[in-house]
Amino acid sequence: MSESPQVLSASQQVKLKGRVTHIPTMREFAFTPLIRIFHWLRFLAIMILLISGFYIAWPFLMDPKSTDVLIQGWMRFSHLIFGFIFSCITISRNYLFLFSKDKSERRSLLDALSIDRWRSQIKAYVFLGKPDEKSGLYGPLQLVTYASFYSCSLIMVLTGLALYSRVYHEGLGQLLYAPASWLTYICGGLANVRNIHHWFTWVFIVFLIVHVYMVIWTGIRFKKAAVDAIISGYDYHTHAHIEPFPVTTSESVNINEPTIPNKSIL
Amino acid sequence: MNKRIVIDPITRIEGHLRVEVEVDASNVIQKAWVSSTLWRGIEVIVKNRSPLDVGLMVQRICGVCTYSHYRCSTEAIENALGLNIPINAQYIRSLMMTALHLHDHIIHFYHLHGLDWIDIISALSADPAKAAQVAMKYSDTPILCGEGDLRQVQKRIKGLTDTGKLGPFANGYWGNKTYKFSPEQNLIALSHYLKALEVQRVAAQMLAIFGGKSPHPQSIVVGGITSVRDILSPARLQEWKQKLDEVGHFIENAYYPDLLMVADAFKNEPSVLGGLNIKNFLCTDEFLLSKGKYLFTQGVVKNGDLSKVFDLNPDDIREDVTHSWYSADAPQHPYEGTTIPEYTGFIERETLNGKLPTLNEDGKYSWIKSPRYQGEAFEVGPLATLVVNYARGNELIVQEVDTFLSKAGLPMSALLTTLGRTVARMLETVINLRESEKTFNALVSNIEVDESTYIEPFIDPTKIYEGYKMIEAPRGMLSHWIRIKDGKVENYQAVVPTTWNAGPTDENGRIGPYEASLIGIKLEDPSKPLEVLRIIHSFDPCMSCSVH
Amino acid sequence: METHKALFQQGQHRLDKLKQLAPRAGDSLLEKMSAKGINRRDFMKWSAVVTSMLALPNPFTSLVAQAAEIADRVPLIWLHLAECTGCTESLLRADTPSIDTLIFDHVSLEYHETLMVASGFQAEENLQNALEKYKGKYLLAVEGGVPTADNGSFLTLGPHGETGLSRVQKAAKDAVAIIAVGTCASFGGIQAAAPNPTGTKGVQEVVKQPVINLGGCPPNERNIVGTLMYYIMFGKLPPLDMFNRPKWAYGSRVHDDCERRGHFDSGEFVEEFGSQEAKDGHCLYKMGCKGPYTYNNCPTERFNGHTSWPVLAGHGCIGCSEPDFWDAMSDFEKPLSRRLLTGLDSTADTIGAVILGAAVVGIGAHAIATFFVKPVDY
Ligand code: HEM
Ligand code: HEM
Ligand code: NFV
Ligand code: SF4
Ligand code: SF4
Ligand code: F3S
Ligand SMILES: [Mg+2]
Repeated sequence: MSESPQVLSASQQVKLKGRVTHIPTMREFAFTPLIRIFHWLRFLAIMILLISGFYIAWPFLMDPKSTDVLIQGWMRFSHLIFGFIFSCITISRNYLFLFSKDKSERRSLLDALSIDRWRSQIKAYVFLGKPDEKSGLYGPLQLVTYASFYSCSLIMVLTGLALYSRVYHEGLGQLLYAPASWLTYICGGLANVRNIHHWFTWVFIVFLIVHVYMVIWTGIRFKKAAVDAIISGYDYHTHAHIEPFPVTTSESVNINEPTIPNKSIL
Repeated sequence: MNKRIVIDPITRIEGHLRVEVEVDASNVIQKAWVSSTLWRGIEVIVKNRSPLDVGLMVQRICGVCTYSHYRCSTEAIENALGLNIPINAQYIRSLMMTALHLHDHIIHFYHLHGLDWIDIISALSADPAKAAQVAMKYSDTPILCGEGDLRQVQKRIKGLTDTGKLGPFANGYWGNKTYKFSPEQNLIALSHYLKALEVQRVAAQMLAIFGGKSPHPQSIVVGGITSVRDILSPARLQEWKQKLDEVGHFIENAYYPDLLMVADAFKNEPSVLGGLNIKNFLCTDEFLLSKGKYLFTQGVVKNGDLSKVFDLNPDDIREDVTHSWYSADAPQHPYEGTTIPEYTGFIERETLNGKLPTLNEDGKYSWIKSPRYQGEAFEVGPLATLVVNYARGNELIVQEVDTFLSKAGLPMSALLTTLGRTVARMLETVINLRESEKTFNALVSNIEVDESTYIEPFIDPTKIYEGYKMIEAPRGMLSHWIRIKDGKVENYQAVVPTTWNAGPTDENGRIGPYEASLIGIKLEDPSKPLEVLRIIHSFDPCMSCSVH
Repeated sequence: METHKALFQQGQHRLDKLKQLAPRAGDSLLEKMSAKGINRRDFMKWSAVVTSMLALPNPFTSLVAQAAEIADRVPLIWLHLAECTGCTESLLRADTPSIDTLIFDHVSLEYHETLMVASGFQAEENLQNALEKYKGKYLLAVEGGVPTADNGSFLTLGPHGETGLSRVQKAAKDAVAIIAVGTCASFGGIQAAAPNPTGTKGVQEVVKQPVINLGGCPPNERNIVGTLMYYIMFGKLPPLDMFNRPKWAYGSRVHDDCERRGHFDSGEFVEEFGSQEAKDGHCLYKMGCKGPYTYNNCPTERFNGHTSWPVLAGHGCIGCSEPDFWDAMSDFEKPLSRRLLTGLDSTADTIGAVILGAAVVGIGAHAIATFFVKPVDY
């Protein structure tokens, strides 16, 4: 699908020379709409799961002396609803990573195999230069971080579903009974399932903070992959940025000629 | 030539107990060694845990005197933290203690100790009609001793023996000459043996009313008691009262008369009139009757000298491990006590039953430590409680003891024997039963004005706390000792009744109550050492307690 | 249902075979019951209760009754290992008048150290005889964990000083089924709590044969008797859960059937023992109740002839039927999220917060550093 990136004309380049180069001159298509929708839906789900989860662990709002205020019930209800939403997203996103028509995510695997790319990304984070241009969407460190994030999500989903099947015995709960028993056995009891579920909650909190910092920081320092990318889908950056690299695999368009490529939402 | 006899397992007790004795040519015991053969390490396990969890854990030291360790531990921690818990909680804990004692003593006399006195086989030849009359000799209102009742009991036993499959009764020392009951007396006692199985269940329910379950209740917490709904419920209180009456009925009309019958039949049996060679007794305060007033008071009696009673000083307790499978440099006070296993095993030698692994009396030979008070071995338990309180001139106790002795036609000296030990347990039960009403009434009148059952404990992690508690468990004086540092258990030691009684000889060669009690006893038949069982059972051994 | 029909036939067939064996006791169960004033109707009611407890449909009541009557054909050997005898006590403390206990009484009890009369060599002889005579036929019940450290020398039994480890392995070999009574026998129990100085393990970890685990410290006497009845009826293991506990007893959590569950759902919690909420019977979750993680039938069966159970007595469940509960469920008076982690002095949340703090500090440092370094040139 990749076309060769379009660049500014020679006269335009001359104009820019020696001046502040922070003005994005290029945009690349980075995130398909589904990825973006999932990203933000997941953000919402996680925020609700965090709040309701901690509430379940330690119900901190005391009862207003009336049995018809079901705070606890609402907390558990929303935890489950968003738990299922989160489970679906986690599963779908794993599917998309593997089978999406857009190969840009999968290509990140190539970057992760290159020691040079690792070196350049880590160096960039400690202020020693710029990251190399990469073949896929994510640099090696990002890929590993996101992969770990997905593993943790999977753990949350599995332990969460196991807990669910212990509370609700019909329907899905019944269906999950046998695998959930197995998981409970592996963990050494339901209390440990709950413990694991609780401990991994902290992974999400820490991830959130570091992640938000990193995307903002990267956007500011490298004029690349700024926060808006996960909203609009486009990564706006300076033209010079791609110059040292004759081959870029992501799709770029000239900012002056905003031709939006005709893409499937996958 | 002296012969060594190994008895392992001693059954009808809690836990794993081995006794070895050496008899001379005329089968008189010259030396005796007692060992418990299981170590679990509970004092080690509770270290570094939250003091609030320890009570539940140490409760699992024993499922028979369950609750003793739970309560003792909880109160040791309260002592360390300087907590003064609400009086309601104190009354309830005391009532639960009463329930436990009633339960444990009934089970002990009938189901654990009973068949040392009762010969099942002999009961077969009893005449039920005559037995019904015999029963009237010991009580005006005997339970289940009508001719018809006794005939049914006999039928059950006959059914059992006819099949030749005696199940749990198989291979007992039936026919031993030191069984002294007449066939009729055996039948009466057997009838109560069966009834007691039901009654003990009611006593256990009493413990469960305020405890949630028995064994191993779950309602005591540092700072008070959790079963506030049961305590404030008139229906629950009534349930307690009704069950107390039911159990009390059995104790007054079966347990008490049965011991008159035992005294009557066995008062000339030498092996029963011995069995007490350490005449030192210790006991502590127990059964709260009203604020600050206890049914039994703490004290120390030495060398059987009832004219002097000393106050119990907790500083004077040490545990010696010279012959126990632990390492320690010197006898230790429980606050500084350690529990470091050092197992050395058995040594092979010739015995009555051929070559066997046996206890190494020159080295270490038991998992039980040897507690000493002012360097001396002491007996604890109901007998000690009665002796100390008798010597203190506690009117109620003096009166009860004297009444029993005169009814039974026994001299005071008969109290300091195997027979006396068994009688004392019954008397303690009876006194406790009758007086517990005072505790109950004190509780009921107090909850009318004050419903508090709990005060919240606070543990400052920067402080070091030290505390202990002594209570009177069914088998005698129990103490737990704790040091708390960084908010966690830094050291923990339990000094347990059966440890006092069953511990091995100490570094100075001072022998403990169990071992001493066997010396000088003549065995009718060394291959069927019923006398040893009877004496050892009279202490009501609890090995899981003794070692923990 | 087809499967139930097959099961019924299997049971009936087995009982018919057992009936041909010689009874142990001369008097039948019915005679024993009449001596205790229990009539046929009470007995059938009891059978129906056991039937439903075992999660079997109504027609099985007659099988249960038959099985109870011929329980004395099945030899039972009961070993005590590293334990506190609380499980035996539990069994002895059943209802009044108790058919449960009567049945236990009626089972052909060949060896049980707390109850048997014989001691020493005579006791040992009883054991050896039973192992020999009923080889391949006896049921083995074990109370207590198995110390394994130092070759099992923390527990020796009998005149030959045999280790508990060796004894249970030998007895297991020719047992027709093995029942681990209580949490000690099932999972190691109190003596296996950290640091487990004696290396104690549950029976299932030291024998090759399958073991039915009756978790609980102690287990309800109903669970013990019910398991015996099931075995007598069908000669095979009942359906088991993930920890080999019979599903009919350990199929649901304490929390599922708890009488305070309504308060949990409404968010009405006890925050301090003895408080007004405690008097009102609110949920004990915040006082550390582990009912949500514990499989047991305490709320429905209760203890001591239905007298009470821990939550009724105002204390949370401590999870006593679960593996490793002494470590996994402590602190017992705090919910899981507030428990101190073993070995560390803090809760998972404090550790999480510390890591979060470290991350924030790292971020701050990185951000500040950004101001001082040379911008990337383009
Ligand atoms: C990022 C994702 C999630 C977070 C941060 C999260 C957080 C939590 C927390 C903190 C608890 C309380 C644990 C404790 O008692 O200490 C909890 C409980 C629970 N979670 Fe999650 N959770 C997540 C995802 C899920 C998912 C995917 C499910 C599956 C449907 C789920 C189902 C449950 C259930 C059933 C409980 C127990 C509720 C109860 O027993 O009433 N959770 N969660
Ligand atoms: C709980 C909250 C969040 C989670 C779990 C999360 C997770 C992720 C993940 C897994 C990705 C990789 C793409 C994907 O798999 O979807 C990603 C990318 C991204 N996220 Fe988030 N995110 C969260 C919140 C945020 C927020 C609040 C922002 C904006 C301030 C943000 C901005 C971005 C950006 C810009 C990218 C693309 C960066 C790149 O190419 O690596 N995220 N996020
Ligand atoms: N010895 C002892 Fe216990 C008692 N009574 C403990 O404190 O028995 Ni199990
Ligand atoms: S499971 Fe509990 S009650 Fe049973 S023996 Fe072990 S500690 Fe005692
Ligand atoms: S008391 Fe315990 S078991 Fe009962 S509802 Fe509350 S948390 Fe669940
Ligand atoms: S502690 Fe045990 S007794 Fe039942 S309520 Fe919990 S499982
Ligand atoms: Mg000790």
